[in-house]
Amino acid sequence: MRHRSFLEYKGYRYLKLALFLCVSAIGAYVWHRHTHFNTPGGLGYGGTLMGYALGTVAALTILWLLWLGVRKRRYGASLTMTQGWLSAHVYLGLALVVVATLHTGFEIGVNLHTLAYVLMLVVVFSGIYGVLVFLREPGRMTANMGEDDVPTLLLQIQEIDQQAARLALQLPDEFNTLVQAAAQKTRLQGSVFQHAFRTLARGCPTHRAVERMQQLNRKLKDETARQGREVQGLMLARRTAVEKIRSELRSLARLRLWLLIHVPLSFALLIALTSHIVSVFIYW
Amino acid sequence: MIRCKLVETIHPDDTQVGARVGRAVSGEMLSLGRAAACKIFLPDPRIRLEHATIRRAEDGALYLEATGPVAIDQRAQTSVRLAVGQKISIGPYDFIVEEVEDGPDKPDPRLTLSFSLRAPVAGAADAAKAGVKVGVVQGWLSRRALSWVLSLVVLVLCGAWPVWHAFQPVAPLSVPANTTAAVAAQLRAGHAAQMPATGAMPAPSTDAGRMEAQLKHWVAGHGQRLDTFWNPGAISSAHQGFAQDCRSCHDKPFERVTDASCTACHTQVGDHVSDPTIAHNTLTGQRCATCHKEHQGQAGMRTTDTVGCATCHGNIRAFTPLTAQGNVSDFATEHPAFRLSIRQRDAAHTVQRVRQTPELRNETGLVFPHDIHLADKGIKSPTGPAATGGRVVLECASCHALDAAGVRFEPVTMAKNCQSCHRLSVDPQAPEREVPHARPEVVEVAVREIYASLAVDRYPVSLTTVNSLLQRPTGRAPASQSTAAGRWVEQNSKRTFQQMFAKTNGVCTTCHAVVPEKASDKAPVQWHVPAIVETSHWLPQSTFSHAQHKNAACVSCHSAKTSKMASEILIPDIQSCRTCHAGAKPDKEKVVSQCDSCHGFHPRKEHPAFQQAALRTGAKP
Repeated sequence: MRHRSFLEYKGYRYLKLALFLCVSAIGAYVWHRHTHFNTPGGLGYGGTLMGYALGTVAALTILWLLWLGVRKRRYGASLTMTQGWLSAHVYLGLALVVVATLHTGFEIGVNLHTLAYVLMLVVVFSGIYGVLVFLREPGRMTANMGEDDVPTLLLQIQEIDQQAARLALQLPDEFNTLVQAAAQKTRLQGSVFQHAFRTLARGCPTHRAVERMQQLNRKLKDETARQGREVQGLMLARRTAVEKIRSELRSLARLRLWLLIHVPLSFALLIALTSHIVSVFIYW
Repeated sequence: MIRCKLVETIHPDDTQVGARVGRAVSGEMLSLGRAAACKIFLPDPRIRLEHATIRRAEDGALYLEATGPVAIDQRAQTSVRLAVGQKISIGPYDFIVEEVEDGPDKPDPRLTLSFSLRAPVAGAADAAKAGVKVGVVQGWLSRRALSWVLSLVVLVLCGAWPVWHAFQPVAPLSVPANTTAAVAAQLRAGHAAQMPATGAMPAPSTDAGRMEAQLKHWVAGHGQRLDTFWNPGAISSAHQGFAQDCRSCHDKPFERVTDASCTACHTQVGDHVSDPTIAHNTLTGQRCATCHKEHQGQAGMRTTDTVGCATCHGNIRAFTPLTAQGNVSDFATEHPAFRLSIRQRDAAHTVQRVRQTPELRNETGLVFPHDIHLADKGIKSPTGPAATGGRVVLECASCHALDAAGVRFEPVTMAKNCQSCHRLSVDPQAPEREVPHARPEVVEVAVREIYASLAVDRYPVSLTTVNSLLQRPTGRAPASQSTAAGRWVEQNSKRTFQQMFAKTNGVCTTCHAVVPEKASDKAPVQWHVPAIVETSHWLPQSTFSHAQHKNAACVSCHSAKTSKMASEILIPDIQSCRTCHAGAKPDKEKVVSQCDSCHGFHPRKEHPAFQQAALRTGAKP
């Protein structure tokens, strides 16, 4: 049976629901705008009856979307599948952009209300990015790692280091230094941003060992030349393994980085939304 | 078919002496790797699933072909022919080729390999030893920490602080009831300016006190700014002066803006429905803000559009079942005929609003055929040039002049507009002598005076004594002569006066409807000229302006050229307006006209503040 991603859940059930929501919201807005809407100057705003209705739908949708954070941490048996929740989360989140935009009446200003709207947009668009990342990165990770995994690669690197250290003993000092530096100073793990912006590989000792040994090998002769090539071969293998691990960690960082925007801004949005509602009714 | 004997040397507990365990595998091809399907199964994570294969080449020799790193006698190789004594290192395993029987004549080569695990894997702890966890270093950048920080920032700046400010006590603002709108706005503006952001700071003596005062001052000022951060839209231009403080209008938290907030300044706005019963039945629950929505941009509060009016007037009976008004939803499709405000010829000259029909007449007491005056060939005038036979061609503007505001026309008066042609001469012999345009008894005296003066020329001898009061008569004139002059004056005066009022085209009856009155049967006839009741403001509920319509010819709306009687009403009917004015829906070559193009919602109260508007739209009739 073919794997069905959360986007195709139950024959795009929630895509259909979201489309229905969008179409009915747009229909209601257009109908209201042409029959009941009578603000001076023709400026739209969220304070009409239709505005309150759309705003209520949007606010309830936001609360439900936030509830995913609670739902996905409940591991007990449930009548619904988390995959279905995720599917609905994605599609209803997209529909929220339409409903909330209609709620604004296309009136944007420098105020709390627009802040809440912009926060909502940033959260949704970071979520769209997250969906794209989750569609793309797992496949890349599989292709990158092939038969290996990170612990295997680390063991391979250890082995390479032992072999290289043994071989380098019979070679000039610089070989030893390079091998030692590669073994001890190569950084595989970095912060989220170092992975995301590829700054981790800057001045990597393994890379330097490969490049430097290329030059050093030209000066070696006979038996030592063969050993030099072998050490360089080991360093090449080491570089491949190191880059594989880094690529893996980079993918992991990408899978996580967008959540650093998506989740905290969701909470900020919740507070801004509450303030928005309170402010509207304090100064009714 | 390769037949291979595998001998594994196991070193239990790291002892030097190992136990040798043998087994046999066979196949067309021997794979080495950690995959369970491999013939030579090497369970170690450092080894690939399929690390290498041993196969029989076409020359019958056995070859090892590596896909992973393989060292033969410590040299990395990818393909090598197997030979006795070779040491093959695959990851942590060392293989030694002990026997090989191969060659082109041997279809089933034999092979003996002994191997041992050189460096057993220490387990998952090795990964930790290498200092790498499978994951990413996050440090302080945890979702939870970021969520708390951002939420608190938003909560304090956008929520708590403005809420705190909203509940601060505000100094009561009193606007005297009779204050004009402008003054009240100033008062409110002054109230806003008293807020601590611009107000003078108190100067306590101690440092601590000063610090506290400064803090309060700063908090109050910035709290106010945060408050305006809640403002959902631009304040209308008129309200910007005092709208920096939300509570100028929003009196109490969680309560809607009351009408009292509006009428505190707007004292001169009339009610839409004057009848309190109808107002109660129809407008209960309606607030100023139902129509006048603030925060809608600088021009926001001024107008409301047709949809707002038609919600009630589109089905007016649903709101006031007994009303005489018709439904109005759109000027083009549903708008009744105009109701003309016509001044009546009763004693008080009351104004009645009458629905306009083609048959409607307005008796003013004036005799005036527009068609004769506006005839293309002209009309005879005493001042007309001889070349045209004394005819003058008149235009509308010859008599009707726009008022100063350009809205309606100045009243037409005898002296200004008529008398240059319609001279009040009494005798053809002396056309330059005119009676005043006044009441009949004044005119009667004036006629006598004119004839008396004419008598002086006619009978110079017999009228020597002019004034008996200033000088004594030197002698009496002969009775016959005196009687003749007196009789002449008497006869001519009476005849002419009679002709002026009784003759069909007399000097007065040309324009006026004259009524003869008798106190009794024997009493002489008294002529009575009823006052001309002129309606000057036919459509006071509309804001029509002639200046706005000056590009149209007068006759395109007013059918004056065919009007034979002054009682005909020349105010154009609604169909005439509709030839140019569409309703709210755009129409080709027509002007879109909303309700407020002609009508206002609030009736005006008389007030100095509205003098400018009164000048523009004309005084009430």
